[in-house]
Amino acid sequence: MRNKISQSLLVIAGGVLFSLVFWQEKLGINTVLFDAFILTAIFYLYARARQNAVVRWLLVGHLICLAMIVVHNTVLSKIAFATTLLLIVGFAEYVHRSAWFAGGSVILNIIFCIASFGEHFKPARASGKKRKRLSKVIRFAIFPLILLVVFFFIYFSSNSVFQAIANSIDIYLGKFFHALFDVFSPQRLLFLLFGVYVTGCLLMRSKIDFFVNREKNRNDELQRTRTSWRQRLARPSFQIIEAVMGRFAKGTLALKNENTTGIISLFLLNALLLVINLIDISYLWFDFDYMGEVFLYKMVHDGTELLIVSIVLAMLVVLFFFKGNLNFYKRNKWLRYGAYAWIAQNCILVVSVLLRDYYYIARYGLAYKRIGVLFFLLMVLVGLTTVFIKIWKQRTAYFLFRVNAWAGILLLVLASTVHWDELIASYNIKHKDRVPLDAQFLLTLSDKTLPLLQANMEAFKQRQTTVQENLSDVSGTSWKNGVPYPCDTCFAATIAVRTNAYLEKQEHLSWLSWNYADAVTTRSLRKHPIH
Amino acid sequence: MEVVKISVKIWMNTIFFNALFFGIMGAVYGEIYWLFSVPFIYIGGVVAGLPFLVLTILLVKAASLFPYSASGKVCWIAVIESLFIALFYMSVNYVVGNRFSLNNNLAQSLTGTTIAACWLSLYICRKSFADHTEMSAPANLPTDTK
Repeated sequence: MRNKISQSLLVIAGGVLFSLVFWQEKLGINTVLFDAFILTAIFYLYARARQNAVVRWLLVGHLICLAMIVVHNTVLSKIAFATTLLLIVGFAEYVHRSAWFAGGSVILNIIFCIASFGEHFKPARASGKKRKRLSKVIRFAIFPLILLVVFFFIYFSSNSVFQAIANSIDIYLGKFFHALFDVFSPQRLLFLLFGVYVTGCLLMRSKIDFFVNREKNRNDELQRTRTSWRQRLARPSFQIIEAVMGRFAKGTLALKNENTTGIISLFLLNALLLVINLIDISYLWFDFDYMGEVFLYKMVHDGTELLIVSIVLAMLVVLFFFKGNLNFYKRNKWLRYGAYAWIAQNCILVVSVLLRDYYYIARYGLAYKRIGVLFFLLMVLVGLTTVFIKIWKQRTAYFLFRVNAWAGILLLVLASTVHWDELIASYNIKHKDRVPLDAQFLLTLSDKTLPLLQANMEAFKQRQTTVQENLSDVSGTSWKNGVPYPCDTCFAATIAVRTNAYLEKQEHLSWLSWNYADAVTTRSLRKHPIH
Repeated sequence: MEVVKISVKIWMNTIFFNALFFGIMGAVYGEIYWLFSVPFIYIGGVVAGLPFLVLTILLVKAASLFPYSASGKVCWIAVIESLFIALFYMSVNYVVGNRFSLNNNLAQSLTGTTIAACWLSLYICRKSFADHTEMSAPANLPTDTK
């Protein structure tokens, strides 16, 4: 009971703190204050979590993300911060090994937060007599009150003196509420309730252990299970096999037939992929002239997306063949070799996609999607490695998803340590002699790039002249976030407008929003003002 | 059957209080005759609010399966219903004013009165809800804290 009381008190205190530090502010040093409160509360309420190794590792990652919010203040660092915090909640409050299941439990926390909160407000058991008396008073009051309201408004409309008295009271009340709402505005109140809700989601464990029970029986190592024909027939995967193989999918030779189909499939797929890889190696890997006007865009842009789909499909094909008893079939040697060759060939394909991306970056500069492809390929390599381990060491799909989720979290934390906008802007501007300056794209990058854009104003002016010479009609003023932008191709003016809007926005923020990125940007922009 | 009974009770009370609050709100704005149109608003509310009966039945049915106490379940239903009420008025605002928001005073007042009516109705029906819950809910599980 004491713990319950302290839990609800902590939730309300967290809500008040949330409202105080985040109201009309952006994420900055205030995040450190709120996060310190939340982490302390979690480790106080769920003391066992302090000994949990997974929670400790997550805490390290989370603190890195928190530091990155203060240092870089990028969207990615905020996403990584929220993800790691939610995972800490999942692992601290429930018994989990997989991030997927922990995530599921956190979703239950979010759905049932209100119910968990409501639990703490069970009506006090008043004595029967007391309750009856209170209920009597309420019930006796309803009808007279309704009558009072009705007659009040009738007399109000019919008697001018009464109306004047009522109006003067109304004016006083209006002044009182106006003054009250100046301090406690309805928006502020809603924000406070939102803060209580957010804190509740983080601190209050839901009573539903759906995902805990689901994960309890899962293992990393594949166990051979004997299933009856009736159970096997009911499986969707079996129905697919049966649709293709007909009667060969049933009977005592079913596993052998499945093995043979798998070997033939993997042999044909390997042969096809070998041709593709040979073409890529001979054409792309050595002496490829990416600066020439070949069909680079089509080959790289369209090709990359399709190849990524093919690699993901390849992993699914292997998982399909190694989903059940074929893992334990004594004569699955060739099927396994076929799968290994398929994985190895897909790794070569990853290198080809990587080269395509590299050429594209070297030719057209950095962009979000091009960096995203690099991360995706890294994840694909991890995925292919884990698929190999799954077949080699006979591991379950649970193992596969669990390990890949951790790889994804690690990558997210590492990715949050770089200010990608700054990197993109500096790379593209540095290579502007070789890479065409995509001014419109650079102007969409975050405010931290403004000093860099300002320092290269001449380049933008030149680009503006070139672009406008080729245009017959220059568009007029447009509005973005309440700020008037001169025109789509007025790059220099847009930088000036954005700089002024940024500095004006900074004026309204307090020390709670402080972060290193904004501090450096503001200092630099104030040192070199644009007129 | 009990779920439907409780849901109808919550729904009818909500519409009654909503009509009453509409009338009082009209009077506050100076339209005293709104108070006399409360029965008509009630009848209109029954027709317009029919989809909410289905929603209430579903929510009460779902809530009775949760391993929470009656007060927890009532709080949960209240918040989910409030979200749907806000969404309903936002949709009406979109149809009328082509904006999916509660950007005018009337929309805000209507949403506020309907949510207040819903909460009051749930508060009044909490006892019958608790009686039903005690009969049908799975055993409460202890919270694994400290």
